[in-house]
Amino acid sequence: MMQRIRQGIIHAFWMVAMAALIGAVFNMVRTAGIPMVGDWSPKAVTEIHAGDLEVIGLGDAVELFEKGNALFIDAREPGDFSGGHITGAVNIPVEKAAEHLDEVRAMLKTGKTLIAYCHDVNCPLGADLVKDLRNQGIGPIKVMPEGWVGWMDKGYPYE
Amino acid sequence: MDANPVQVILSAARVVLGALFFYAGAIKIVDPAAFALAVYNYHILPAWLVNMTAIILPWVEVGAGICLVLGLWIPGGALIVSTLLLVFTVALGFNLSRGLDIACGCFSTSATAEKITWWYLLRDSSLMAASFMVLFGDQGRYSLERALRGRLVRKP
Repeated sequence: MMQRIRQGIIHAFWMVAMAALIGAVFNMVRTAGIPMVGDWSPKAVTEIHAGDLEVIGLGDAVELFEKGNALFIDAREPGDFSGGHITGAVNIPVEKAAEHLDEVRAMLKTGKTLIAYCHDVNCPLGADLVKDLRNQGIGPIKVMPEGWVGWMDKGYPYE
Repeated sequence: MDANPVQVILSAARVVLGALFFYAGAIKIVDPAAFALAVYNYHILPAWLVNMTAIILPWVEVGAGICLVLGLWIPGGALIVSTLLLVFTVALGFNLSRGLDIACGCFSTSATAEKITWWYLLRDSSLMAASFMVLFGDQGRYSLERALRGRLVRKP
């Protein structure tokens, strides 16, 4: 038994070494290759999540909010939403987007700025929701990447 | 070589596990950027290790998968698959328990499909059990290694 494990460890070592070599070389020559050490800063992560969507920072968002010109959409799960959310926000989880199309259309008609958000910069659900709605021809909706956590950290109004 | 049912089952488990890992690795190789994001979303590895993992791990899965399907270096392949499943199960359980709503990144690199659930934990644990049985019990029936050895022995 010990012999088998020892043999396994030696083989596994060579297999991992070979995989590392093949993976690194293949990654270098292919067009879809990625850098060995990636940029995972909040800015880069937002770029990945939001892509070409229109992004709005906390400062601009709260300014619109205070003037009564912002409508927030909380893309988190209902459980998270009921635990606290930006004052006046409506809850539309991504997978329920189809059930809220008319509601979002009505929100857009008010002429106010629609802002979707999720938990924090690492959560893609706000951006996912906006993309989903955009694919159905509904927009424009902005994304606030800092999300619920960023809003709370600033001490802005919530309920 | 009489048909020992236990060995037949272990060989079947080995081939199925190998095929699963080959498939899981291959689809991650297709889109490294998407898989890197899936790895990042687990929030377990330090940022500098995320891309390296996304580049290398799929090839480890593919390599171990090939070994298990063909029956070459079975203890090595089974040890890798068992260790990976253990790591995946722990990572999955950790994120489920802290309530992270993320994609599994297991058999798909899509960020929206395949959200992690407790069912995935059960799946990974079952696969892990099978993998450990192969690691300790598989005698290499229906394996390329045995076929090759048999030929060598038969040669005058």
